[in-house]
Amino acid sequence: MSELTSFSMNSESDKLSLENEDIAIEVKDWNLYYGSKQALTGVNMKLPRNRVTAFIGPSGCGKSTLLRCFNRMNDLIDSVSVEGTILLDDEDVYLKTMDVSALRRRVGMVFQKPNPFPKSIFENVCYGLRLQNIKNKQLLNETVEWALRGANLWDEVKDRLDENALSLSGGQQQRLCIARAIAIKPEVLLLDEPTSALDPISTLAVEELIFELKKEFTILIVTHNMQQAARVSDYTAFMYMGDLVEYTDTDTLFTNPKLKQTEDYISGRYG
Amino acid sequence: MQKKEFSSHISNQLNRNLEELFNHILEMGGMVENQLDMALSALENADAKVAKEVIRFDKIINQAEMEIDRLCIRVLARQQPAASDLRLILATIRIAIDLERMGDEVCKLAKLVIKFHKNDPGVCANYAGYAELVDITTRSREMLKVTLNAFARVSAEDAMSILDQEDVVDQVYAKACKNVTEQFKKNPENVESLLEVMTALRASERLSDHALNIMESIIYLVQGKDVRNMDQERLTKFLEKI
Repeated sequence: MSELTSFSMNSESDKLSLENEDIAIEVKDWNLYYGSKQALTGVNMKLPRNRVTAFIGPSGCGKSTLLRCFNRMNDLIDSVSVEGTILLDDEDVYLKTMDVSALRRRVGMVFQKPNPFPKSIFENVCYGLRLQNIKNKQLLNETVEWALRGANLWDEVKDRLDENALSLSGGQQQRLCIARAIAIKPEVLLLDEPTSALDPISTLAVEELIFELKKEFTILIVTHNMQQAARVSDYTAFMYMGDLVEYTDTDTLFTNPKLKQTEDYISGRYG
Repeated sequence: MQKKEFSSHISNQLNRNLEELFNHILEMGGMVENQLDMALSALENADAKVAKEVIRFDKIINQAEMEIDRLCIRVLARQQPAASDLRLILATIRIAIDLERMGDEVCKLAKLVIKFHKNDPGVCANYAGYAELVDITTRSREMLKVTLNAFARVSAEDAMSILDQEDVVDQVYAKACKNVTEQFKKNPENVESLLEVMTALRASERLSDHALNIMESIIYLVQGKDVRNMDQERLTKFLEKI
């Protein structure tokens, strides 16, 4: 009867576990203050490479603040001070000698609202490459096509690359911003509420894109939409009032969370 | 509704998961079919060795049900399926339960063979009700095959074709019960063996009931209509409308 046992009965062993992952980013005892107000408290976590990690939690829980730490976007806010360590491939992101522009090339970001530049579609995608002084026309063409294909937008715009990016729909604009972010081939992609301004169908298209992109990038996504976290992520971190409450594989978090606080939040009993 | 609808979502992950569920049910169904074939062979040849294999195989079927449950929970928690996708999940859970119970009933047939083999090898066929037992099991086996094919084709019409068989099974079962009861009276010293046959007859009749449940789950999947507990008249009217 052994030929009949091909039925996959290994879901338990298939289960994701951080212990078996290649770690891209490590956060150690991380605290962040806006002036005297503490916004993140003692966060410790390891973020796996080529996986999607989602951050969920109520407004003001610190999820976007934490996301912005990974490419030092918080440096732009004067009152912010930080303690602790964030390692990107074992390299301290907050070292004084760190070249922040180089860091942001390695850690790309896409924001809540699509923010294409008022330039052509082509110029939007190759903007980062031009900043790096890349002039080779063939390389630019190839990269733009690669990025637009990667962002699942190529077929829709390939015949109008010279048109102004603002002529695209909201969903297309957001995918363009993702294309722009991946064109410089970052290691990590930070997505801060990337679909909150999009209609449900465009949202599903972007989610499918995220699923595909993890093959090449490490993706961290902040979302208000718990179901979105459930759909797209491999790991989910639940945050509350600056604390990392529970962080585990998404299957476990959404079917059998350890803590009652997490259970209450994901089942809509919170508050 | 067609099967391809389960693989036409924007989310490829959902497509994959639903397809996986679909195939899991067919695979688990195939396992029960095989188990039933073995049990039939054991019954017909009074082969205790094959009967033991039937019981061993049941563990694999039990695991298959748990695997299907796990996948259903995962899809429900993570993909928020709606409409026909949601019905597929519910139908899948129900069908897996029926298949698992069929596996349990088949084990009861195997246990009969093992018991008889110990007492009196090779004389099973002489017991009252034994011929009907083989007949009902064969018919149930056919009903399962028809329902699994109907599931594969997502066809309520195909599934409903087992209703005639179910009527025949009921008649054969009634006849068998009558035979066994008469034997009770004639040969009270055989009460123990006759009770064993009764238990197995009941199990084989339950097999056809589970096949019927699977048919109901397929109708629910395809038509979105819950036909469980419908009396014969209402069910006939409903089926005529399809």
